[in-house]
Amino acid sequence: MTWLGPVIALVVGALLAAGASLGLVASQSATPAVVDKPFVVYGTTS
Amino acid sequence: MRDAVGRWWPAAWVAVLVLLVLLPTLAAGYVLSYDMVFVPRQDLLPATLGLTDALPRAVPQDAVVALLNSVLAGWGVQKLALVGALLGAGLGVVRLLRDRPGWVRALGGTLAVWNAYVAERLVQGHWGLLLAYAVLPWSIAAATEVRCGRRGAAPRLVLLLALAALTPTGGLLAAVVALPIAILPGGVLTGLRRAGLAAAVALVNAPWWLPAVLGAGAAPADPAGVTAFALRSQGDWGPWLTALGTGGIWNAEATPASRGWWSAPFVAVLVAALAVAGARPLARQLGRLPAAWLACVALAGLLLAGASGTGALEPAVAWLGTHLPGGGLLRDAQKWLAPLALLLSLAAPLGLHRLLRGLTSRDRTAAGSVVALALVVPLVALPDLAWGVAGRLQAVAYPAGWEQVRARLQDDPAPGDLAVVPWETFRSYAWNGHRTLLDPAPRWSPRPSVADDTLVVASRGGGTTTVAGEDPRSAAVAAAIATGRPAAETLPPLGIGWVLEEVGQPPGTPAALLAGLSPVVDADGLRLYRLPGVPRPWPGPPWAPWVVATDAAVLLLLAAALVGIALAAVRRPTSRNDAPSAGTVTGVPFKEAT
Repeated sequence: MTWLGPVIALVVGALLAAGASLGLVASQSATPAVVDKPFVVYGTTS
Repeated sequence: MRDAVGRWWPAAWVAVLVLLVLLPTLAAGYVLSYDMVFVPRQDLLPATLGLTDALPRAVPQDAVVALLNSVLAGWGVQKLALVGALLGAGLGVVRLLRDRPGWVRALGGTLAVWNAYVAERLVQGHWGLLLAYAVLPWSIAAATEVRCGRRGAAPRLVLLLALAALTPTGGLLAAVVALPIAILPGGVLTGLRRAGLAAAVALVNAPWWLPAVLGAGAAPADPAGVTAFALRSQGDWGPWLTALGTGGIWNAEATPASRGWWSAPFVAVLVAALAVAGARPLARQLGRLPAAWLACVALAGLLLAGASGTGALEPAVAWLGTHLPGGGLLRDAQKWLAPLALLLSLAAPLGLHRLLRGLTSRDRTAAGSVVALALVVPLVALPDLAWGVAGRLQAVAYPAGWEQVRARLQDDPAPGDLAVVPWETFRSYAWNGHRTLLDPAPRWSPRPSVADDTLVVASRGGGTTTVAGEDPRSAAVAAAIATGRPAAETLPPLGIGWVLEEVGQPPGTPAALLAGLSPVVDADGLRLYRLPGVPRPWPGPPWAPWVVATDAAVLLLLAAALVGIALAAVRRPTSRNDAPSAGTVTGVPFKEAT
């Protein structure tokens, strides 16, 4: 199954490209918003 | 050539995945996210060895980083740690699945690297925990070889468990997973050697548990942390399916968006079902007892994490945190899913292999398609692990002012430790994309420093929970600052001779605190003040010599282990079948019944 590697690379590459075009995989898309509280919290639970 | 490709492509695939995750972090600079703080040069200070009254949470991790910093800049240590953790986890699983088809090993490596546990702990900055996660497969291999009496395996196991013990949680995780495999009845070790191995593992963990036990001055873990740091359900499917998918870190901000998609529980159930199908092949691969023990530990971790998400364990964990030294380690329950992540990575590919075996003979194309799909599904289900967890992890440069502050604190002979204000544990710097970050000042400082250690956690409802700190000296400095009187009056009696103000960081510094003082360094939002007068020296804990002596003993033990490994390599017979088999993992080829 030596053809498997290139096929997977193609599929993953296409998925990442699609994700990037939709803004899902972008360098800053998931960075937490600027803190607007009077202090910096460790994190947020739900 | 064809054989070589077939043998190495799973490892190459794992390396590609690791690059896909970490590429943005490999640029020049430092990746600074939540608890992950690296600086160009960290000094070996008493706190890095746990020689303070605070609980030793990053001990001996900080000491090891400080020692490595003497030969390698902080950015190099960080990149080695991050790449090593992910690569180690993936290749460890590939190694444990040796003698299986390439795609089985590749799928195992994929599941070990590309999962929610890795993504969430990366963002939270728990690189020491991820190193311990990476050690798990290698330590299982070593423990299985110890069980079979292979020469050199015991010192290798001790070294691996020492690496995992950079953090308390990591040390406990690896010891609980691997040590019983080596010493439970049925192996070739004598009773005395078993006891010796257990003692060695206890000793390599002593750098963190000894200060924790001796540090009676530290406040117990705040029960509020049990609720704040419980597993967080990531969707309507609840905590148990969240935990089954190895996700559920308490911090919503450290959670990739895809964990909220319905694909998450679907893939979790699919992988778990394949793992169940792979139980028998796994027992043949690792040996019955190692596989059964790993399954038990993984199940215990799943129960602990899942139950914490339901709130069922709150009273018990709160009691342990208050009454048992180190009991607070249990409060961040999702951490304990590491053995489950490993078990799924090993068993699910074997399960798929078992299911496909009949199909392969009839229709190779169909089987190939299923395999290709299986390799891609984990990536598609968690696409935002790619590219530094979708941009959350990126290398940045510290402003030059930090170097100036460090140089002044190092070169100025004026005595005293450093206090850092505003009195808050976490920072949000514009130059770091406003990512939440544990204040890096204590790691920059070449002097002992005191900073806030309370943890404020927000809830989506708008409220906050404050988890009290554990360092009595930090509490004393907080109380002194809260009086509203000038630092020059209140802080020198607490051993403080210097104050670093990080200008612009919330909630700001009261004007009265530094009134009448002129900064000796003022650059890039950092103002360093020298307090007048001579600060009263702050005494170290009386038990410090015991910890230092124990740390020295650990170093000697690790040196002896290295010598043991070298001697075993020299004396190893050419035949690989020099020990009884407990499965393929020992290097003895195993033929599975068909």
